[in-house]
Amino acid sequence: MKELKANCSFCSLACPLILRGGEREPIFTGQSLLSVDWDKGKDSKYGGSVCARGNAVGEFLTHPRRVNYPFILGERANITAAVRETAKSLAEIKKEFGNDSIGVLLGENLTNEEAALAAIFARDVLRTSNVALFAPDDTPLFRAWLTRDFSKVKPAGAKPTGDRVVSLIVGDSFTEHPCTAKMVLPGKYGTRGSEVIVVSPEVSHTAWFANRHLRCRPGGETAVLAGLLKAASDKTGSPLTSELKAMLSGMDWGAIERLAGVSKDAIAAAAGSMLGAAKVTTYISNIFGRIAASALAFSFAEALTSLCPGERAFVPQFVQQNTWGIYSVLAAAGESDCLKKLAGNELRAIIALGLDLFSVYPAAPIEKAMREKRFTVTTQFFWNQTADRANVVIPAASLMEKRGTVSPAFGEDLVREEVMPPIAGAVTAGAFLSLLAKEMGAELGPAGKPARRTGRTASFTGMNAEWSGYATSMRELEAAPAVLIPWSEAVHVADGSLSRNFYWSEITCPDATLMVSEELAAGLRIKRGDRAEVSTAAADIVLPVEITRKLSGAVVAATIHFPAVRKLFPLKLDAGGEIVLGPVPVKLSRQSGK
Amino acid sequence: MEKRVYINMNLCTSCRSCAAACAAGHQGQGHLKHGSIQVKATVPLHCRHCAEPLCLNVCPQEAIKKDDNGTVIRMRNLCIGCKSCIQSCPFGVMLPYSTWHTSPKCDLCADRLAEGKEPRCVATCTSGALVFEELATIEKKYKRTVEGGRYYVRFTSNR
Repeated sequence: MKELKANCSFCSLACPLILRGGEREPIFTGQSLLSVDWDKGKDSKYGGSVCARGNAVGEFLTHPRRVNYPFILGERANITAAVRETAKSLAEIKKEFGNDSIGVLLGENLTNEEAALAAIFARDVLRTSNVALFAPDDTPLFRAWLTRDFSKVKPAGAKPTGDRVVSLIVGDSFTEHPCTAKMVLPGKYGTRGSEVIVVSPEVSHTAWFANRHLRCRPGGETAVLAGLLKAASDKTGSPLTSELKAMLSGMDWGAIERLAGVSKDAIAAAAGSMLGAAKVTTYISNIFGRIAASALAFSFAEALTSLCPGERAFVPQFVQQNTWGIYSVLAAAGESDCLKKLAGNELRAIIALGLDLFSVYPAAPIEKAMREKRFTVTTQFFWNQTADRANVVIPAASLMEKRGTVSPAFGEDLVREEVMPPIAGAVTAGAFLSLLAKEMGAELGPAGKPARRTGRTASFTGMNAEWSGYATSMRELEAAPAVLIPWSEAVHVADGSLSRNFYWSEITCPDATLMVSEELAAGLRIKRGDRAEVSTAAADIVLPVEITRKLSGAVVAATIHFPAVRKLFPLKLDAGGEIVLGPVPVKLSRQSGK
Repeated sequence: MEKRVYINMNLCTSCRSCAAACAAGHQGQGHLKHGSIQVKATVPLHCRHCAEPLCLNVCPQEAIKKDDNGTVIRMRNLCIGCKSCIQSCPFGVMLPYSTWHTSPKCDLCADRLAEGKEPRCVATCTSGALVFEELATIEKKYKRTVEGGRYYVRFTSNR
């Protein structure tokens, strides 16, 4: 029996685990049986626990449905033919439509080195700047981090005595990142007066554990955080940066209460609790635009945490493991308006590496782009909707099957070792790019240590405009007959994604469902099991209805892990060319028959 | 020394990691059933490994036995999948289906116990809700949570 220490590759927590090899085959040299053991070492993160996704690592690596061969137009091919076909098509498109007609979209299953190589490939071989990270859940947080430096915000007053612990959780961390529970709950039950404060519009799995549930309007998290910051600042008169101070003084409590849907008293009491705690930890989790104006919410949350005089930690939880690493590498490589061109239907060819486009965000323009574009090449683990629409599919190697650096959190760089060589037929994105460059007559040298942009600049310009834009979007939601928010089920089970192919996804989330509050269901005369047509500005779909007490008022939620549901969210770009997500207005109607 | 898996309801977050670990460790056949509470929470329901197990008594093939540690185990080679044990279980914790013509049954991960490790469900628990301790310790240590208290507060209707 052999054992190897590794890290889970499915989300940004990168939980430690031990992979154990089967007894029958040499381990880590072939497709031997693998099982997951738990790293119960003294300093192990999260006590060595892993969630259902982590438990499926062994299953994933040797999954019988993994793509093992390259495919050209759905026909099995070999890597040489696939590379040749890709090079030929890209050269034709370059010649006919120009260099900027090709876009490179990167996803989380790449190392920092591979991201750097993709940027070099785009610059030197394709001669374009069209290379972008496609991770709309996470990118607003990164932009906020890089462009707003809160290091000048100092804690207000002396450290409180006692050992009271307060955890502020924005979103549904226990569902999206289950291992968080082991960090939060011992604090909650450990000392008298300790609290868990949860900001979310629904009674999520996390909100069940809340001592204070600031149950906001859909999208109201940002306003609640603004209120918490304002209350904390008013209470302490603390040294916020002048820009932030001016912004907060311009906000009146009436507006905050209206946008948040939470009373000033409740917000002020929660802020008071945080300021009086010996230890404060803030978690923010933003799966698929749960939080409207998430960049702003992120900034408020960070500033609020910095104000707390006790021991403090700010823990943003990204949806995917290496999105921050890739974003910082691409930010260092230069500006790109690739997503703008994608949304504007200007790209003629797409190179999608390390992501399943349809699982991430099958917005109408993207679906149209995939359908109408002359050429798409993609690396995929399983045969999914992206593979279905691509001209060339390359079998992907996971983060377990390659060596490189990933950055699951700000300031955390993790050197990933190759747990086992890429499963038969799989090719790393780096190797594929090198082969492709060679076929196109260029040589990609080893990337070396990739340059990354991690330094922060204290530029607060644009925050006021973001707040006004947020207020406007919330007014639109107010006028809507109902509002749709994303709903998380325990761990991801996205249709077409990695985890959808694990056996338990059929149990935890068998199908896309529309959760409707009791009041709304009564008003619309919808019963459990009925089918309802859900219409947004982006799409119309029919979903089976589940009545729930976890929601209230004119709010509906849909299991966000399905491309059909993600399609309901219209594609909007902000001034910086990043995708903006958030709760959306929705119309519901009951479908006759079942 | 009889050790049992105990769930502290105050901590369970319904993440189902335990079920995934159980299945991953038993060739895809999970032995752990989950129950729903007021349609709000889903918690794992473990085999109690009863002092006088009914499943053992009703098994026509004597495929279920109690080992020296009091663990009630099923011998797959003898099980014919008649489901008598499933029907007889007073706690309803045996899965209501059989796979490969045998009834799934928690064995407290005998392979790991032999290595001095805890069962898979306990090792993977993401919130620390599952513990594997001696019966006497469980009764002493978790008296308060056994009685209810905070657990019921979590599921009151106004939450």
